[in-house]
Amino acid sequence: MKILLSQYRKILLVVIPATLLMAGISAYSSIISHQHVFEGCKQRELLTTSTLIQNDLQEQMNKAAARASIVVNLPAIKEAFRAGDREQILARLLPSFLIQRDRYGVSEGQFHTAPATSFLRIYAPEDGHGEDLSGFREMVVSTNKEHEPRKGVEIGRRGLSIRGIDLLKDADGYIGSFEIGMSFNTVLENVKKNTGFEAGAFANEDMMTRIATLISKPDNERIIAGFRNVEATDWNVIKAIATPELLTSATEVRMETKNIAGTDYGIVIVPLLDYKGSNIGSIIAVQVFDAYRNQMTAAIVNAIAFALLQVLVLAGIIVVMINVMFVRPTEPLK
Amino acid sequence: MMRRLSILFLLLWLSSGSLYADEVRIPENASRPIKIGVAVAVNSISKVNDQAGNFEGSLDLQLRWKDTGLAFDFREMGTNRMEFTRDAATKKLASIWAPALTLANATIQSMEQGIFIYPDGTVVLIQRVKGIFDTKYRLGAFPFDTQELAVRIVSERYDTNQIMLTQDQDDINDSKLGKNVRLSAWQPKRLKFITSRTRGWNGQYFPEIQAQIVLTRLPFAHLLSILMPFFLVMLIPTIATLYAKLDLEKRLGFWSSSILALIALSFTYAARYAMLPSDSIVMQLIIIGSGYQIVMIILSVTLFNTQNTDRGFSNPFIVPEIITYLRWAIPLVLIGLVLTRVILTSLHLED
Repeated sequence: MKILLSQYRKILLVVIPATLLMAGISAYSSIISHQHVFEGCKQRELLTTSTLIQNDLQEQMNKAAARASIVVNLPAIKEAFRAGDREQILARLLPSFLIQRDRYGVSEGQFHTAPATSFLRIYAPEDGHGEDLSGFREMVVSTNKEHEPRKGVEIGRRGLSIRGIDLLKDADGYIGSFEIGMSFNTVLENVKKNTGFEAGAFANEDMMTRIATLISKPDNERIIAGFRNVEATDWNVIKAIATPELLTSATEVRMETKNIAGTDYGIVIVPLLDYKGSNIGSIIAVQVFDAYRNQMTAAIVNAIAFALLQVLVLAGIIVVMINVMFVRPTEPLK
Repeated sequence: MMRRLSILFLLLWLSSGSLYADEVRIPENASRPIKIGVAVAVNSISKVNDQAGNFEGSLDLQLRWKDTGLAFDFREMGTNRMEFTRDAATKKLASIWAPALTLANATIQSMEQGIFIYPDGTVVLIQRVKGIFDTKYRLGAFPFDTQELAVRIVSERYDTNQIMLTQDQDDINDSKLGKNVRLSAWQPKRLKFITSRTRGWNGQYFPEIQAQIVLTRLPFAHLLSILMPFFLVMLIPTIATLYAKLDLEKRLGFWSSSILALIALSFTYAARYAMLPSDSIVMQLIIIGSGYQIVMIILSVTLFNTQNTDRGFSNPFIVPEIITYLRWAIPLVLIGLVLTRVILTSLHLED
C-alpha cells in the first residue's frame, strides 16, 4: 500500500506540474503572439501618423511654392516691383491675400531684393522696409544668390512658417524674390482630422526670441525646455505630453508609447529641419492608446482562462484515471 | 376659377419668397466660409435616461464670429464691449446676421441669450439652454460602459460653402464640464468635440459639430444586482445535485424550479435593462445559466443516477471518482466562466 501511495504521489508530482507547464507555455505563447500583433498595430498607426505629418508638411511647402509661383508670374506685379511701387503691389494683392489668410492658412507674403532685403510684407506693409534678412533667412539668401526657387521650414520675423520662395524676372533681368509662408495650423488640423491625434508645433525659443520680433511672446507655460509652442490643436492635451526630455530628444522621427498617470499614449515626434538641415523644433502628435491595452488585457484574460480550463480538465482526467486504476482497487486490501 | 388659382399661386409664391425675407443677409464683405467658433460649457446634467435614450441638462452654447460691419470705435462708444442681454439680445439678434445654428437633438425647455460685440466686429452669442437631448447609448459594455452624450449643433440654413464650424484654443478653453455636473450612478469624465457635415435634402452639405459629454457608469451596484440573483438561482440545485444524497426526482424538482427562476430572472432583467443589446453581460449570464442547467440535468439523469451507472460501468470505482472530481470542478468552471465574461465585458472591447 505504501509503495502504491508513493508511486501515486510520484505520478501526481510529475503529471500535474507537466500539465501546468504545458498550459502555461500555451498561454504564454498565445499572449506573446497577441502582444506582437498589438505592437504591430500600434507601430503601424504611429507610422501612418508620422508619414501623414511629413507628407502634409511637404504638401504645404508645395502649396506655398505654387502660390508664390502664381504671384511672381503676374505681369502687373513684376511691373510694380520693378518700379518699386509698394502701393501698387498692395492694391493688387492684398484683397486676395486676406482671403488666402482667412481661408487657406497663408500667414506670410513677402517681397525681397538681393541679397536678402525685405521690400514689402503684405500682411504688415509698414514693417521693415529695407531690412537686411541675411543674418537669419538662409532660404532668401540662397534664392537670390543661386536664382533658384526654394521651399522649406524657417523662422522669420513673423515666426515659424512653411515657406515657398520664387523668383521675379522680367525682360530686363532679375528683380527679386517673393515668398509665401503657410501656417502650421493646417498641418496640425489635418493630422487631427485624419488620425484623431492631437498635435502641436514647437520652435527653438532662442531663435524665436531673436528672430520673430513681429509677433508677441506667448504665455510662459508654452515654453518648455527651450522650445516654444507656436500652434496646437489642443494645448491642454499637448502640454501634458510635451516633457523637456521629449522635446530635447527630437533629433529624428520617433514613435513611442508612454504610460502617463495610468493612461497609455502613442506619441509621434517629427523634427523640423530648416533650410540648412539644422533642427529648429518639432511637431508632436499624441493619441490615447487605451483601446490597445484593453485588447491586450482581454487576450491575457482569455489565455489564462483557457489555460486554467486545460489544467482543470487534463489534471482531473489523470487524477480520476490514477485513482480508478491504481488507488481504489488497492483499498479492499487494506 | 382661373383667377382664384392665379391668386392662390401668387400667395404661395409670396409666402415662399418671404420665408426668410425679414432675415439679415450673410455679410457680403466677409470671406466665405465664415468661421464660427463653437464652445460648449455644460452647467448640469439632471437625468441620464438610457432606457428612453435621452438625457436632461443645462448648457451654455457660445458662438463667435466676425462681422466687420459691426466694428465700432471704442473711444467713441466709451466701452470696449457692447453687451446685450435678454430682450435686448433678442432685438439685437434680429437686427444682425447670425449663423442660425440649431441643437438638432434637443427639446428645449428654456433658453436665455446674451450678445457681446467687440470693437473689431467680433460677435459672441451665448445661449443658456435647458432641455432634453436625444442621444444614442452604446450599452455593449454595460455595466462598465462609458457613454458619449451628444449635443448636435447643426447649421440648417447655411451650407459648408457659407459657414464653417471651428474650435480654436480659446473655444477649447471655454468648453468645459461644470463643477455642478454630478450624478449618482455616473462619473463625468470630459467633454470632446467631433466636427462633421450632414447632407441636406437638396444635396448640399451643412456643417455640424457634436459636443460629447463623456460619462462612465459606476458598475458596482448594477453588477451586484445582476450576479447575486444569478448565483442564488444556481446555488441550491447545485448543492442538491453535487453534495446531497437525493434521488433523481428530487434533484430534477430542484432543477425545474431553477429553470423557472432563471426564466423569471431573465424577464426581470429584460424589464429593468430593456435597452441592453443581445450580447450584453446580462444575456451572456442567462445563456451560461441555461447551459449550466442543461449540463447539470444531463449529469443528474446519467452520472448521478445510480440505476444507470450500475448498469453502464463495469468498474465500480469510476463513477464515484468522477463525481468526486465534478464536485469541485463544476462550481469552479461556472465561477471561472462568469468571472472571465465579466472581466472581458469590463474591458470595453467594442470601443
